[in-house]
Amino acid sequence: MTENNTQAVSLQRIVSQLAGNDHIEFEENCGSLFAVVDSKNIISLLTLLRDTPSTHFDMLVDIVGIDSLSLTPITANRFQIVYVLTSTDLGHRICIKVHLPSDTPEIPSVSSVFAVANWLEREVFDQFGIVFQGHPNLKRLLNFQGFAGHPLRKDFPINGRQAIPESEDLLDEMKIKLGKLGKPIESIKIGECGNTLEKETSNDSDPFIVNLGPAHPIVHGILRLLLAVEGETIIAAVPELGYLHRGAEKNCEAGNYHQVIPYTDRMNYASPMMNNIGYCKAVEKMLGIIISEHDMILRVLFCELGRIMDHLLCLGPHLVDLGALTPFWFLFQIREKIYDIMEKYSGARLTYSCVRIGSFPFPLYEGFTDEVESVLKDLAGAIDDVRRLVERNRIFYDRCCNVGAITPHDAIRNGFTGPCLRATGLEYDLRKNKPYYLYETFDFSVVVGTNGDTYDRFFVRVYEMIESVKIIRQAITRIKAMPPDSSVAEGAKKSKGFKKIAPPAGAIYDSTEAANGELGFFIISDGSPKPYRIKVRSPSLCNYSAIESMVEGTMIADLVSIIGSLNVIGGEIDR
Amino acid sequence: MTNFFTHLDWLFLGTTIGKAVFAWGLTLGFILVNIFLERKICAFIQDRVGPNRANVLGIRLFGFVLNFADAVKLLFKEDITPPFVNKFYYFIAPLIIMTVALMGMAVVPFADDLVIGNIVIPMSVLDINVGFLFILAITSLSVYSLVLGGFGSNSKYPLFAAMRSSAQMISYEIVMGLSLVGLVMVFGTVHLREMTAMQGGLLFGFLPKWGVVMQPVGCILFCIASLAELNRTPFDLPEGESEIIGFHVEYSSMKFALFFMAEYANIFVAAAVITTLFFGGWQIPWLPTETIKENAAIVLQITAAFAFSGVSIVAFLLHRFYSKRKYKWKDLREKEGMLLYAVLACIALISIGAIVFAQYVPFNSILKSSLAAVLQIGIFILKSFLICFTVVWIRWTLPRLRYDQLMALGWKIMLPVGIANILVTGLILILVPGK
Repeated sequence: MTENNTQAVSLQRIVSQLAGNDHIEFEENCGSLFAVVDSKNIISLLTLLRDTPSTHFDMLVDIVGIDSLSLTPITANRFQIVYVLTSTDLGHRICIKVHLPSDTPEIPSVSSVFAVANWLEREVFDQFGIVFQGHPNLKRLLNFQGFAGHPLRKDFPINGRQAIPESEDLLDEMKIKLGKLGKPIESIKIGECGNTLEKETSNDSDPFIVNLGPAHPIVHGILRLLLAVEGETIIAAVPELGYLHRGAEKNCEAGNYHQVIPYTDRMNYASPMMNNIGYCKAVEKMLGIIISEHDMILRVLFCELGRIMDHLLCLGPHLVDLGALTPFWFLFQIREKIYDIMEKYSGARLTYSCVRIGSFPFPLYEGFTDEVESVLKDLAGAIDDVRRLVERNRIFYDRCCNVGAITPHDAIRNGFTGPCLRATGLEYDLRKNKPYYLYETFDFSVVVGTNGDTYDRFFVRVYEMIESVKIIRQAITRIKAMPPDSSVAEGAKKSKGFKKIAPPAGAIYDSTEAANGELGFFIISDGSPKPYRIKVRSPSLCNYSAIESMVEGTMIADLVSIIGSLNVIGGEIDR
Repeated sequence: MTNFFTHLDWLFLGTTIGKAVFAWGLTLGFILVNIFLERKICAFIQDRVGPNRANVLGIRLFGFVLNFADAVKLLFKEDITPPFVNKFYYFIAPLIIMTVALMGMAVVPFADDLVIGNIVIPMSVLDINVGFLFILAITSLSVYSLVLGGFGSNSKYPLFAAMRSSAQMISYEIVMGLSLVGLVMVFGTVHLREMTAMQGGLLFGFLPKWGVVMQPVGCILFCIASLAELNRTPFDLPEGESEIIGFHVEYSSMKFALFFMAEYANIFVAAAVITTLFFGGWQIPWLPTETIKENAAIVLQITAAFAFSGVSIVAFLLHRFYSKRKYKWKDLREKEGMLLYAVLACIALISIGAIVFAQYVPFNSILKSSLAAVLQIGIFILKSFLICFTVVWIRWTLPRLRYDQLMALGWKIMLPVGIANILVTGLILILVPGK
């Protein structure tokens, strides 16, 4: 703690030096450092923070919009924006807070400083109506274009659903893109067949416009890309999100802290336990609860099981997208076995909701560890089989090598985290860089790639599963060494007392290393038993944000491979 | 009119119709076999059970009956013709592909010439001297089906498929033709009957003179090109399920079924052609037709002995299979085992009968010829079956190529190798005399 404090103090000093004349107020809240700055200088400040070697905040983790309508006594500054910045090599984190006036909430866009800000700002615009000046394409991101109102404002009713009148044709963005390429198309219209776009004029040099998704075999979840192709080469791509937008963050504000847990399950349905644990960890940090060592190790075990499940779900369908159906079954049998174990423990197969703030709801059942160990043995066999099928397979190698490659620099600017970032060769893993739950006492290594292409992303995941197996084996030995009825039962009893928890007023950003990257929860409490605002930093959204630059110039078959290897989870992007 | 009938060769007409029915029956039958193989092999490879529920009166035949359920389903499905298609192209596409699939077998010989007295019946539907050129010509027509089906659907994804298939099939046809030039140089003929007859010889006195031995590179090239012509993984780009969904997206019901059936019929035809060209066709290695005819009794006895022991092994395996399963009282599936045992018992009895028959009854020339023909047809079907098996096996092992990689493989690797193969074959033929 003292180490953290000194770090924070020195960071404060550096940041105030950088800001020069501008007055910066610092607040420290549950271990997160907040700096309140003026909205005019935001671009120059973020650039400075990014480029100065002593701070080197090279990654914009998240942009959080806040409507403080009922949080503070009525002031002129109703809206706030928080930029969460982190440094991939120095390992520190800062939240830059900006107050915006209620009548004209406007702020300069930082999308020129951090590429990922493009989509994050669009989301804030969509949910709060905050205008980002100079944003290249300020459209709604998650709600449909004709939506009236801004749902995450506090005066928007929680049941304010609206019907979608018609689907978006995305041609406005496509026309701009093609215009930049020097291939303007004027006469595109919706064809007779409703969903088919047909050209009136048949000019041979005109690109062919085709919709990929929202219902297409490769879009795991529901995504949509409007593609302009020449032959099979994609010359322009326009993504559309929001097909799975359920307003989870708005819903979270309606219940108490425990009632949020089921919503987190439904974000990343591939590894729900990791989301539960990530959320509970953030709330516990806010409350100042330190869970017992037994629970910590159990959470590590469940996290790593979740990581394996998520990677299995990524690798199997990725190979199916490439036309190899057999490895899918080898991998999914293991996933099924993990499902069985989780079902036995939690009672549910997909959405477990089986973590409580402070502990777990149930103690482990008899024979849990033996079953996990037998699954790990099977998993090693399955990984071996799959590696033998694909690792030195010329077709797989040709399909994946140098496809969708991204440099470490671009990856950081686009907010990549997790396997997708590590595939570029950057050793950034929150389990090592900001250890939580005693991860520092486990013996495992961070898997990195070299090129950041699809092949590397694939094998980073494969080897990460092998590392997870190591961690789980260590966790099992440590759990076995502990007295059997040590703490879960007590914790479960205790957690019943937490039903009416109300963290002290304040804000926190806390993150864990989920299977796809940094899963962060930004929670604001007003001291009541209901969370005032919960913002989820979803790794998939940021990993997907570079999709346009990644697919343009490649072929349709490469797009399949790229989307498969990024492992975008629709529920997590759209929330 | 009398003139016409008197000059009509009734024997020729009758045998040709008979052979045509046999060849078509074989192709159509193999559609069922191939679908069954596809399902069961992929289930086996993927650690699954595969189809085992569909039954007629409790008889499942390890999932074979599912084929009939499929046929019924596809026949009674609503036949939807989307309003935006070009009707003529849309309707003609499935017809072309099925016709082409059924015509491929016309020139493939499935046994040695049947000699009865002084009548010689060639055992292929058409005994024409253009040989495999006919097959190349016919199979190249199947690209029209894919292109017309994709183009006539007037939909975007099928159009991609049409584009892909036209490029792919035309490119690989060239490789296919080139890979056979070496074979023609070695055997000196394109006539499939003569070619198969020549493959009965021995190289260095012990190696069967099969195409694969004489032209190993040609064989590999031809097999790869055939896979590409069949649109099977790793060359299933026109279908490309996860990318462009396939050229038959807009088809439903029996029209879709025709595409589906044609794929499996084509697998059999390709297997039969590969067998004929490279794996000795109907030739039983080290056992030419004359030897069979001379030692008819012993050959029949050995065959019957093989059949008997095969039946015993199958019966043993079946017993193990059924003894593990406990059905409820009066479950219809109980009868399945009895039926299979009965069939096996019949085969066992017939083989014992054949052994006794061969011991005591002298063989006349008709019997001898028929025995040779039956054995050769059997071995031909067995070889084709094994190649079908391999084709299915490949599908469930490999991923799919990308479009440009497919083109690069065809034009930059296979084409030069094919030309080099011709040159090397020519050099060997010149330098090594007496071949």
